[in-house]
Amino acid sequence: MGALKSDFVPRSVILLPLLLSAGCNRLPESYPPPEQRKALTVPASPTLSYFVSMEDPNADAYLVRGFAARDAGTWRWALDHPVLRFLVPAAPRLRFEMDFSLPERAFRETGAVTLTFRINGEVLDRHRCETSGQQHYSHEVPEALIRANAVNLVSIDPDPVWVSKADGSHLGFILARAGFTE
Amino acid sequence: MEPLAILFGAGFTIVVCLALGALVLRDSCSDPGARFVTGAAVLSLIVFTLCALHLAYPAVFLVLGGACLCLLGRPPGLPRMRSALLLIFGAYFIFYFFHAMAPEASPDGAGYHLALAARYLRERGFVRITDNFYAAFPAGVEMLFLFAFAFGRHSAAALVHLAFLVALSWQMFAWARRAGFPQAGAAGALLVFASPAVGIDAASAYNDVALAAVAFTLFHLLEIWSETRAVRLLYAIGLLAGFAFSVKYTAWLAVPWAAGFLALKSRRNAALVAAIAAAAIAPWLVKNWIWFHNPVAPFFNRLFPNPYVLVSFEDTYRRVLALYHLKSRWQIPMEVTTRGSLSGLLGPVFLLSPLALVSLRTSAGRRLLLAALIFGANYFTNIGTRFLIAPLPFVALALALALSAVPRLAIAIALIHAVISWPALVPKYAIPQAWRLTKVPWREALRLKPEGPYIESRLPEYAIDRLIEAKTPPGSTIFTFTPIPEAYTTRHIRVEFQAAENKISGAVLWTALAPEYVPTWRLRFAFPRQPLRGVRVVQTNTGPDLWSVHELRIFDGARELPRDPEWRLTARPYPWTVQSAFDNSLVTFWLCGETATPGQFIEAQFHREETADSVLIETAPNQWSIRLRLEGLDATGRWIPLAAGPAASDAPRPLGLRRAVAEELKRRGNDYLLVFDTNLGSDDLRANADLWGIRLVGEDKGARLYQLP
Repeated sequence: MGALKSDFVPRSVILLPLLLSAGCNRLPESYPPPEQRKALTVPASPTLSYFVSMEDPNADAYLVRGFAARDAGTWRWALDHPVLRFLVPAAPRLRFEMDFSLPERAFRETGAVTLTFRINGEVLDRHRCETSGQQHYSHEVPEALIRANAVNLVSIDPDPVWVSKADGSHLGFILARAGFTE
Repeated sequence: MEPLAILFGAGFTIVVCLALGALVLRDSCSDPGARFVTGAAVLSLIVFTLCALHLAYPAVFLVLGGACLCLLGRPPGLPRMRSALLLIFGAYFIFYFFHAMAPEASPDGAGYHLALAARYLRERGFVRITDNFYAAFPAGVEMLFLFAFAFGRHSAAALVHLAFLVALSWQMFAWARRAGFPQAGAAGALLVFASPAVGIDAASAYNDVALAAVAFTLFHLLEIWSETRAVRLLYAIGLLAGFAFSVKYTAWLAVPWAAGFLALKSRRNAALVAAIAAAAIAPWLVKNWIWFHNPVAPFFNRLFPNPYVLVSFEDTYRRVLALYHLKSRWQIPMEVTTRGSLSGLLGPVFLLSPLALVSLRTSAGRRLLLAALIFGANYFTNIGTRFLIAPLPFVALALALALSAVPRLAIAIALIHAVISWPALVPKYAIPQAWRLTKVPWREALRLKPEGPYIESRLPEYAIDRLIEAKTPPGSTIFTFTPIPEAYTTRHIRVEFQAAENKISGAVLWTALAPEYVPTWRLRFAFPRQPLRGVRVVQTNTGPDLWSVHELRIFDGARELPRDPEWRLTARPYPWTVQSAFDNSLVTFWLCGETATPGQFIEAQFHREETADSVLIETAPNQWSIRLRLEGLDATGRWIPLAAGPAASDAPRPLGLRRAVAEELKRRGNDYLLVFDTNLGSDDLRANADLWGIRLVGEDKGARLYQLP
């Protein structure tokens, strides 16, 4: 009875000759595709979604106003009243995140810069940047500010802005990526 | 009652070993040490057989052991010896005895030696364990632990291990006395017996001292056989050579050594011994072959590819064990003898070991040093001090023999060793963390004090065992990155580094925790639209990264080709998880299994021609060193180049990733997640438990236990 309970003994009796005759293991040949799982939510160009990188060829679709014309780089100058738009799915406890930078040359003249974040016109946060260079911003967004499964407008007002002596343009910060995430 | 159960468990195991040894050796050798170790080899095989038959019941052990004792008849008398040195041996023995009888609190003993024995006892025999590579190590001594554990639990097992030290030390003296240099024998035995590393190892449920005893018994019996040519000795020699391998892989040379020794006199005898040894080894190899697809698991996974141990893990494991934290191997002598940073110290006197070479001028010295070479040959695969214990008795005797050229010098050196190795003096020269004995825990040994605080003072994670026992139902599986003393929990623990499937579970968890593991990397191969019978992505670079593919999608324009059930997917060198790259889930992935080397590939073959113009790989950016090219299978069955390389881009982090990861961990058979503050992402799990969908069920000492959704 014990031998019947063990899956070791009977198989060992059967497989011992195989062990002795085989040099080493053979790899399995192949497998069929498995059952398909439910996909996670990931933005796919060219449709509007919840996050954008300035290197995305479809990035212009997210820029409502207040950005300099597209350049060859993977970033865009945000002017004095930049506004972005996102299609935000229903998801709990979203955060708004942004990778941006304040150039050293501009920062020398402006000093600390305060960014005022508004979502659909409501103030989300005022963020003071005390240093120049690359920065990461992340802030939890109250659910009341977001329209789920709809287009949401995000404005990021820099204060002060840097006024270019060359052409007089008002430049706020350099945007690399922005959007909603968990 | 508990002390009595412990003493019964250990004592019963020891006398059964003595009885079985007497049955094998009969009149060919009456040495009790040799009989005990030989009997242990037999008992180990018997317990293996009972485990294979799922008959590992205490009652079966009791009946079987009792029958052995009846067969033995009158118990043999103990050897008599009068020497002042016995007082020193006695003092050390008392220290060791109470430590062994105290609750088991050694890292490996409580971590896996006894955990596996306890599980086999709960399951009444072997069960298929492929998520813990320690279960693949041959467990010759653990079979004895299981026998003792059935009656006296953890401490009985440790006492059985201590019996091997007594058997070893006695045989060292007995052999030397027989060879004509008793003083050197006594000195050598004391050098080993008083060694701090040997002491704590022997008093714990480890197997290093047992291996040393097996090695020396083998040597001892070969020496006796060369004088007496008793046929019965050959049976014991064969059993012991096989037992040495089944105690620890590193002793594999015991078989060719014993067979070679005998072959010099008689090839027939050598063949007999080799056959018996092979029969003693075979059960372990067959067990591993069936369950791990690798007879020598967890090693040589390139030779025996299997889904259970990743080659990349084996490479890392070997590399770590070969140097630990040292910068140079020249540091080893001081660390293993004096400082003790390699898990214990042998004692500073062993810095004199090179003097043992002087003994080469005698025949006995040459035989001893050859044996030391045999059992130390694999030392550099794991430079832990414990791995020097097997050759230590031979080195100690050779050293004592060399020192014996000066009258009483060997004894004087041994006495100095015994003094400076006394536990109270060791901190004067060793590092504070050195693994060693500290005090005589006699109250704990006699269970006059509760075992919990004692174990927890040595193994802080013992508290986590209590937490798990209190907060999880029986049969639960707990995933953790940090090992815990599994011998004190009945739950199923999966430790990240201990198996391929656990490594993959760990990487799945990191998918939502570590930015470089988040599947945001997109690699798109574009090529002229054409009919194909399959596609293959080939890795062409050499580098330190593990190639992984979360999803591989094939497109015809904007349309992704649906994954037809007739498709055939494969990958090399680790094909087993290839389906994870075709399941539409970004939290699962195919993992290559080895660091990047040219020729690794993942492919999909269609059952008919499909028209395609691009292939997209969705993966994580934690693999900078990989370089990929795309090949296609044309109508003639030839693989043709399609694209020399992909265009890379980044996608945002998917929403719902944490929840999906938690669900995937659950789908992989884990019920709970044990997270220590020091683990990557512990803050995120604590702050975002709701996003993960996990529930905190308990916490203690910087560890949190979460229930998966």
